[in-house]
Amino acid sequence: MAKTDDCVHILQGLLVFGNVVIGMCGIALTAECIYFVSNPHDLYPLLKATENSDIYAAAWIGIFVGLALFALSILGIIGVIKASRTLLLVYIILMLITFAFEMASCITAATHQDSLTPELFLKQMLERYQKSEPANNSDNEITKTWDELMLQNHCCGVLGPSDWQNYTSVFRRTHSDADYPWPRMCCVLDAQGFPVSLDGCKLGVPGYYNSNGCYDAISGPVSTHAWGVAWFGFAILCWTVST
Amino acid sequence: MLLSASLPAGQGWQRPNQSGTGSPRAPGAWWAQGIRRELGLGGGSGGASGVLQDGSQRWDGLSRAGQHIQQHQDDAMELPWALLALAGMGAAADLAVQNRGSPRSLPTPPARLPYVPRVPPVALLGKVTASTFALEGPRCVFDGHADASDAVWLAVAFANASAAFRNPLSRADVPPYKQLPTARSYMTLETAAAAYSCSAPSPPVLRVGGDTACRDQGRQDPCNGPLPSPGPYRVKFLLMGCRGPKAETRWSEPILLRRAVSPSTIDPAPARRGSAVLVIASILASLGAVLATAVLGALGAKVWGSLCHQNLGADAFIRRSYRTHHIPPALPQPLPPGDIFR
Repeated sequence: MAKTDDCVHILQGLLVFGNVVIGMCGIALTAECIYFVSNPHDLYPLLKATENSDIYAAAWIGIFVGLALFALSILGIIGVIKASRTLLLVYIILMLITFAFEMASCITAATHQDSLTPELFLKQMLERYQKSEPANNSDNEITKTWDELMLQNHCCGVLGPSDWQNYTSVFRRTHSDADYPWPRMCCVLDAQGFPVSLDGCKLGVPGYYNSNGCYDAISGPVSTHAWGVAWFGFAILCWTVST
Repeated sequence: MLLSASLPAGQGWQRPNQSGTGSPRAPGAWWAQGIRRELGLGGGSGGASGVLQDGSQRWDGLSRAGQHIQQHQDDAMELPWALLALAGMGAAADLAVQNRGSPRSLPTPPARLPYVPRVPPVALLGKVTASTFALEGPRCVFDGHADASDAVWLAVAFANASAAFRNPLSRADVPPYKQLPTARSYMTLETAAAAYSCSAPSPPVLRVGGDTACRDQGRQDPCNGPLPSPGPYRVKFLLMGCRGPKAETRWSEPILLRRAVSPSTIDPAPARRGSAVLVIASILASLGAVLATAVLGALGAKVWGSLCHQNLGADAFIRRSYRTHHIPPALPQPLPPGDIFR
């Protein structure tokens, strides 16, 4: 009898520990999702313009799931200590519901992350950058975002400056190909903001223009956020089930 | 032998029956007609025909050359003069004129240099765009032919119109940029010949089509305006002196400009679903199934327990949370008679 007593105590101890971890993770998930929702990064206009706000839906779900996990962990601890069957049953059922929600959030975040292909941004850039009659404010924001992106990251276009040569664009309608093979922001600029060598930039002489594409600079921050929501939730769920 | 290069093989002055219009008056007459025919047929290449611009001038020159040849024949001046006449029509006429002392002279054809203009082979991203292209500067090419006052022009023509291009006789005859759609060629980038000499630091790369201001303002000067269509172009450099073209390079290979496609051809959908999504979804689904099974198992056990109403106490589920000691039910002990009243 004493041996089974010990086993029970050990088991109870493990369960309490598991629930404590779940509670802490729930708090952490809530905090991360609140940060993500309230502090959109600089590339937010680009994401908003893709009219695919799944990543934000996933973050909102993550907030509530985190709180639910925290509450459930307290319930689990109480149920384990009190050894009440009813409480534990309720705990498991509610955990199942929370699991379903978090699963939806994870999959949504991962799918959205997948949809942010270079072609998506390329099409958006060609159709909206420097649009001469902006239909709404988002076109202006896209132009500003791209200008800042190209200036700060020393990059040009999505895959490279050839994007502006391979495709027609609204930019091309107002800026002739002979004067602007690619936007001025793609040129290496001096301290005053003028191209170091305009002819060198137009000809594509290495060193006077930015030859990299901006896709890495875009996908970096967006990926971080998407994976933060998706994988963290996934890890919590795995731990929950194992407990 | 500029003209002989343009003679189709087999034809020439060996065949006396070549003339189709009546019997030859003199042995030299069919030579003139042969020359007329050959130049009319193949008068497109190089500088031999480049000297004279339009048909009437060519006809006059031909008849003049023919007369000189006839006179040579009449004077029994031998074969060498006839050969020279065939070799370069202008050169022969000039020579004959010098012998005769005639004041009229045809200009010498421009020297044909073997240099071929080309797009620079260095890796420049903008060397060919949709309306411009870059060329290597013709460094050291015109040394030995150019005076200080000469100018080097660039002749640009559509690739299928380059054979029909005629060198202009003077600066006033230079085809301007705005005639490109109709004349199918133009000349631009007038530069002093000294800029391309070996001793001067010449520009390594020339950009054709880089000046949009002259296109919009319609100035009359040589305009380096953007090219209107991507159709393949051929270029050559022409050294113009005050008397006309002095030297020319060969035509370049056809240069095709870039064509841009519409962005509506871009398909933004991902090529295939990321494997990570599948991994997450499958693992989560299996874990969810495990959890659901556990819940159902627990519910089932509870229902089963309450239905069967047994005092087992050692459930598979309940064992996890607490364990009951299996105490066999004790038989009720008969009460001692004295306990009832305690």
